[in-house]
Amino acid sequence: MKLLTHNLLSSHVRGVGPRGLPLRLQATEVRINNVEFNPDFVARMIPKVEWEVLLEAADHLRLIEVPKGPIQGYEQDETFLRKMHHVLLEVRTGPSLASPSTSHPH
Amino acid sequence: MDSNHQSNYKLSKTEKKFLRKQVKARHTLLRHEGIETVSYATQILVVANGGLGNGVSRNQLFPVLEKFGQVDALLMPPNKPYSFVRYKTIEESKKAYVTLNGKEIVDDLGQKIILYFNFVEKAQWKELGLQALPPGLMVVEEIISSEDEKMLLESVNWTEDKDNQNFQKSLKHRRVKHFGYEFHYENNNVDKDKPLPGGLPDICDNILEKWLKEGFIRYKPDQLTVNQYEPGHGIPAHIDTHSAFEDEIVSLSLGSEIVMDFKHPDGVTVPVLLPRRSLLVMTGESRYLWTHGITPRKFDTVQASKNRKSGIITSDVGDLTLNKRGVRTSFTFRKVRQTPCHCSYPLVCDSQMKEPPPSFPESDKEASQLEQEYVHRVYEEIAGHFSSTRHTPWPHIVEFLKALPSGSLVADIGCGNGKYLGINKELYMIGCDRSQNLVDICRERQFQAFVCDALAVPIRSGACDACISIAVIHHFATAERRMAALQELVRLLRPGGKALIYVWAMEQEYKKKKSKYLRNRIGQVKNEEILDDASVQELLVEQMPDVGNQDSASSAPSISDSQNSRKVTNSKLPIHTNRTSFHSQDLLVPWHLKGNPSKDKPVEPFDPIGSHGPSPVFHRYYHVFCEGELEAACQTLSNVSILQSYYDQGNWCVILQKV
Repeated sequence: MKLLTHNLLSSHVRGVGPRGLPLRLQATEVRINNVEFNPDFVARMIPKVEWEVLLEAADHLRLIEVPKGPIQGYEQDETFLRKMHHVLLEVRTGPSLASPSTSHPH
Repeated sequence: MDSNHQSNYKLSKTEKKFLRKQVKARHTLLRHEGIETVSYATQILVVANGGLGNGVSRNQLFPVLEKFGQVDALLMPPNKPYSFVRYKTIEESKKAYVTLNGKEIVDDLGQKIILYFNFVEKAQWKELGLQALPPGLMVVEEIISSEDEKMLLESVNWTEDKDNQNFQKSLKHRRVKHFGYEFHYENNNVDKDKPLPGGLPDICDNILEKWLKEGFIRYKPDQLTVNQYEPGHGIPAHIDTHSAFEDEIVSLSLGSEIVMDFKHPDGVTVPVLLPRRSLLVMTGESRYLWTHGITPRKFDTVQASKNRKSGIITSDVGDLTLNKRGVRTSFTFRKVRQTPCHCSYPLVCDSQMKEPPPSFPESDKEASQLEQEYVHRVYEEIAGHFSSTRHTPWPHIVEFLKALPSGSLVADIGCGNGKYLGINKELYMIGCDRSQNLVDICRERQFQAFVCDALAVPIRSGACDACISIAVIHHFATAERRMAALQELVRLLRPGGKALIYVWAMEQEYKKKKSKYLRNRIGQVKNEEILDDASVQELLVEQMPDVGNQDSASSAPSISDSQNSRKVTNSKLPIHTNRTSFHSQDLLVPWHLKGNPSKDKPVEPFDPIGSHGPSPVFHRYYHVFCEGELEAACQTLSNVSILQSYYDQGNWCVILQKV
């Protein structure tokens, strides 16, 4: 699963946090799949990102060079967009996820 | 060449070949047609290869036969590759046998055909007259001698005996006795774990062995039901329970002849005369699909001709008369089935119809259970076959997806095999489905997909720029649950986000007119119309997969007159007949599973009947929407405006926007 997909998810299990966020990754494997870089596309994804969730996931997967949040003028910042492209679309985790405070698998 | 002298000479290659062929012809006749040939000379010969079925006409055959004597009768059954000739005397038939065996004649098309002759006691074949016998049915006349008949009849002790271990009953219209296993009329089945002591009467053993050897039966039966019918008695039309007995059911008629009625679910009735001392053999379609029964009456209508034959009573009014019934005793031999039935007639098969159709759900819990059993489980089972029928995306859905701004986040709730997930590369699409197997197919195709229920989608509120829900909402079994599914869809949308919803329409007849209207309105170019036509084709395939005639055999519960009212209480859900219009909004739609056999299906070591593999049937629950129903449901959603509401190839569709 791409981290962008992960970023969109929340738990629907009742009583799990106020918004059911974030889902803890139980990555059994992490793969990098090359995806064609489309700066406009990535730029459009930035406002949709739930940063706290992304950073926790990145930390869990021991990813480096993950921006800590949107920066001024990111639409034109290719370095930033390439990093975001990589973390959101190229990193893929293994199949399972767990809710924050339970181990309810999804 | 006189066959009696053959053994004295060394046979030539050709002679050997001819003999082999003659023996082969004999076996074929017995195996496929139940024609028993005899080794001694009789007046009647069966002429293998000399039949209407392989292009030999009466005009060609008769002169050839006539050369050897006076032909009493030449019987040429329709569509059969053989005929029967009866000579006035045995001498004549012997002469024909010796001279003509292995001789060539030229058929109607000018092809050479070699005839093979064998003596028979009587002319008999599976199909008689204009009307055909039910496929798989055979009546063998004079299968036992009068002495054996007498012996069998005397062996049945009808006197009431409390200690009698072989269960005996006086039913409403007949007396009955069971051996081997008791047949329970309450559930029309046998208790397979409780064989009756003693098994079948010893007296039957020799007879059964003989039938086995002669090829009339393939399995040795282990259950016997003896019925006695007085004049005026009968047995209601029925199909022997599939799960109770094997394919082959045979019934010996003793004491008197009787007419048995066979009925096809389409309504065709074939009355069949079962002569005294004949054996009725039911296999295949005649055993699994046709009902059989005996009308309680004192007279049967039969053919008047003295030489009365088994089989169909023709409707030749010049040749019918009344026949007073006598006391008929039947010995019905069956083999108890130890594994579930996998016949090709799932709609009349209790093994394949696991439980009676469910009722209309009356509570949320019942609805949820219904969906679990008749939606979720079914998709899981049919996922592979289902996916193989889902290839062409529908034009209007493609259009919706292509019109979304680049970089939109889109969720396909109920994505199936993911056929819309890759339509527009400028979108970020994620899919979810209730079926793990379908989600797995999506993942194999490198799509972002996960398993979830459309009532609880694990996507953050407001995360989506757009959602699609294609052929999903109609699987929820109550109006409340359908509303909840719509609400959940809206929850995912950001303000301004759009959702496209497709549900199956009650109005299938309505389609042509409306879709034309739709095309005009959207103003498609010519080649798009061709695509549209293709999607009509696919619609038929998608919604109504693989339908055979047997659907009409469905014993669908009748639909109450109050079908239009929403509150149908305590009623069984009707089973939809594919390719017909809907008669009820809530119904079960059969899916005939092809290929991709389920894991638990046993591998049969041989296929005794033919190449027809079983085609398991699954039923999916649907609530088909009436015109305006989806739109009205969407209108009750808060913070939503309806942008478009239309009809597309048998579906009602809404595009809504969150405000």
